[in-house]
Amino acid sequence: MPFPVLISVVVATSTVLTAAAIFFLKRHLKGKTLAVLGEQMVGKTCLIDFLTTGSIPKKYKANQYAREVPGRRFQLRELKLNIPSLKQLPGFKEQFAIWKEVVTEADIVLYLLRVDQLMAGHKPTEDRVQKDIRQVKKWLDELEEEGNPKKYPLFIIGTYCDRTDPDLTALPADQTGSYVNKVRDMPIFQKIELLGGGGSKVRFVFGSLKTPDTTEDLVYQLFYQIRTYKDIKAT
Amino acid sequence: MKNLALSFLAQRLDNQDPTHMELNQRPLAEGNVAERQELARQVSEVSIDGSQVFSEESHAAFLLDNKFLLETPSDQLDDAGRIAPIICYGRVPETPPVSWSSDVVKAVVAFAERIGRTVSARSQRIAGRGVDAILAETQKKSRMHVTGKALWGVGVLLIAFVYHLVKASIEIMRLKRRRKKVLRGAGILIIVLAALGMIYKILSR
Repeated sequence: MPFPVLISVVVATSTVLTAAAIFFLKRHLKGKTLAVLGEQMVGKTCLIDFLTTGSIPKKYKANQYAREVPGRRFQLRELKLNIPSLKQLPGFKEQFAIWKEVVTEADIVLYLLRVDQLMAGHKPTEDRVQKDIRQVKKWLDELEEEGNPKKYPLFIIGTYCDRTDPDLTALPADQTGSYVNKVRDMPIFQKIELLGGGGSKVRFVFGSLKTPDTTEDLVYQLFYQIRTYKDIKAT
Repeated sequence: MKNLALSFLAQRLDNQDPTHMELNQRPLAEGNVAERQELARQVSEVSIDGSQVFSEESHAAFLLDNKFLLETPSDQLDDAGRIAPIICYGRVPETPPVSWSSDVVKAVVAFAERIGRTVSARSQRIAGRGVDAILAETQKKSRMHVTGKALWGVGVLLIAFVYHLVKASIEIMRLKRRRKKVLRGAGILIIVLAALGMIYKILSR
């Protein structure tokens, strides 16, 4: 075989093999990109730190710029999780333009809110949460209209449940269900669900990010819901 | 104080809106939505698309081309007991003066004072190291840019050289092939002439 032809064959074969390897590797490592939204002081940094490092931070810093954090593959009880990356956004309202970009790109959108403040009827929190949910719903609707709907519903994560009366984290397992029902029956949570598009488009998870154990419980609940969502949808 | 065309951003200690924002020493009022959103966008652009060039304790610095972000914690904590940093956004000048690093730190301290906060001497020193890291990275990138351009030039020359070499080789091969053809043609002609001569000789006997 002439030399130039031999070189061409070698180059073409190695290119095809490399492309195939990248394709299979990408498929193998494919996970879900998460966008973590919420107003200031709801626990975004804590949740992201737990998802990326397995621990919660000892010292907290008010986050004022968007950050993309590399995710990881890990196991939480029987659930195997693969999070390629997380995007955390600051909570102040001028970030809405960036929120839109991130919501558009992410596979799963998480919105954190403070249950203790909503249960206490804190008006600024109520207004802000309703405004945020309305806005996120609008972006999700736009994506649907463009023929690019999200495969998962909007996950609303209620935090600070250790500061409510009763303290969710201190309740025995058989009483947590009635706590959740009580919270979800509150007019403000009914309104939030409605603003998010109703039960089929919104999922709630309640808990606390106070300690590593309570954070693990919350993350487990969240990923259990994500994992089982498709099964529920199929039935 | 020198005007360094810097922008600043700091969440309020009670974490309620509006966030303190300042553009080139001009406070951005809450109603100035467009400029406030633009500043927030610019800041996040650097933190997401840029690279982190410095991290020490709660300080951080990011760089995207010549746009930089410097995060400096103020001495005061927010109402939730969290570190409350001040974000400084700006562009590295093409030829920064010797005092640029300390000027930026002084500007951060001045902004902190304007919003009723302080930055400790220790934090100022760390922030200074952050600005130095921004400068060092910018200079490194600029050197790499020059080296890259030089390499690009060498590459273009190399490609031109190889092109001409290949062209010359093809030309030589073509000439050789042509010479071969001429020789072959001449050989055929000689054989044909010789054959014709022999036929003529035979027929003339």
